[in-house]
Amino acid sequence: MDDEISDENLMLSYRNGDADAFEVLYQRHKGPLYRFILRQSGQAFVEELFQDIWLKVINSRMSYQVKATFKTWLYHIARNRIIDHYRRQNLRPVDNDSDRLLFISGAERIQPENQLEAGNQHELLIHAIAELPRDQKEAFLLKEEAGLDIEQIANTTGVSYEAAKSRLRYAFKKLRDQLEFIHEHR
Amino acid sequence: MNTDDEKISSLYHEADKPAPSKRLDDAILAASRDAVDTPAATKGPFSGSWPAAASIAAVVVITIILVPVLKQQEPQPALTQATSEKSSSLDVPDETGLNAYRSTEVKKKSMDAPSPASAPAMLYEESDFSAYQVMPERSGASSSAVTSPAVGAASPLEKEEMHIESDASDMERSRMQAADSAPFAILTPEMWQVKISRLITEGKIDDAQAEIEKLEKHYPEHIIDPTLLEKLN
Repeated sequence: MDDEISDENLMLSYRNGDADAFEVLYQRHKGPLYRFILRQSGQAFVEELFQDIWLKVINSRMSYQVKATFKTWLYHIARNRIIDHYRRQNLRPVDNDSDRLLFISGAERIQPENQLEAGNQHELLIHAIAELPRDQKEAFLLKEEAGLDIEQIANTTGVSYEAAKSRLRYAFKKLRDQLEFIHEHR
Repeated sequence: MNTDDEKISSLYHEADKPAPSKRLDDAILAASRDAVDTPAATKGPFSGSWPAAASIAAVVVITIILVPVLKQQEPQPALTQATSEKSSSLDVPDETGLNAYRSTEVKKKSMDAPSPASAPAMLYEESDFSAYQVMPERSGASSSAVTSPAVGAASPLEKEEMHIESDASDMERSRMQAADSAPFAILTPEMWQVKISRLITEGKIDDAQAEIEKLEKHYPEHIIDPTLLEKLN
């Protein structure tokens, strides 16, 4: 099917019974969505959550209306499912660790010997992302994986434009500081 | 976004990109195809909107329950029409059931009454009902008459009359009081005799005599209480 067809039209086609339209949508979004979940929930729950979210999309097709972009709608569903997952598991996102890490020195957060174990900057970045506060990590992943702009991030997460912008700015700053610190200690 | 942020972005996208397994892909795509294949055959017109279906079901159930009940409570049109004109002269709340009952009673009594009395019989309908309406007041007057100190000074005939009244049930007494003010044509012989007895007690002998004659005329087969005749003589 033509890649130029918008997500919204594909979803409307699927609502009208075109299963191929869904497959195109799925192929477009499966990778970013998978990583969006993986970076937040970890490997143990990613498959379960990923499947649940797509089943939610399938089952909600009849009520789908083009009020926002498909991506905004998809990631809104994903976000709610992840929050629900944490609630059911009686877990808290990485906030606890991140909050704790705010009070310890950067040297303690990522030790030089750990840098060597990490192997390269990519892995260090992924490690640093995992340590971001939940809201900042969510904003970062919505930008980098889903490709949402600040306004779309605000709509998806239900916060103001300024709040979304602030979360994103802090996320980048922390990642930058982390990587600079690592770079200085190499 | 500054250049440092862009570096972080590009670094992130250079990293490994984990993706769902083929098994997971197949499972989700199969579910998506099943969803669009099955519902068309199985879902009804109200599928997906159960509140609408539930509302319609509730309306049907309520209709089935209420219609027979309302039909039972609905008065007969002819009776309503017949009584509506008559009840308009009454300054009482219109109760359909009562009017229907009254209409039936009037017709029955009109048929029972002698032909010259057919007109008064129609009057009875209102006067009788009016008598019932004022019954508490009249009843109070009557009972005060019965229990007043003047009773002690009453003649034996009066005591006898009062004895008759006191033995009557409340309903019968009410009907007597109604009859007292009603045209003669609708009086039963017994009620008529009570009226005559009262006239005698009040000293209206001529009126009592006239009532006796009317009673004999309208109820020729009725045997008049001999004590009444004795009082007149």
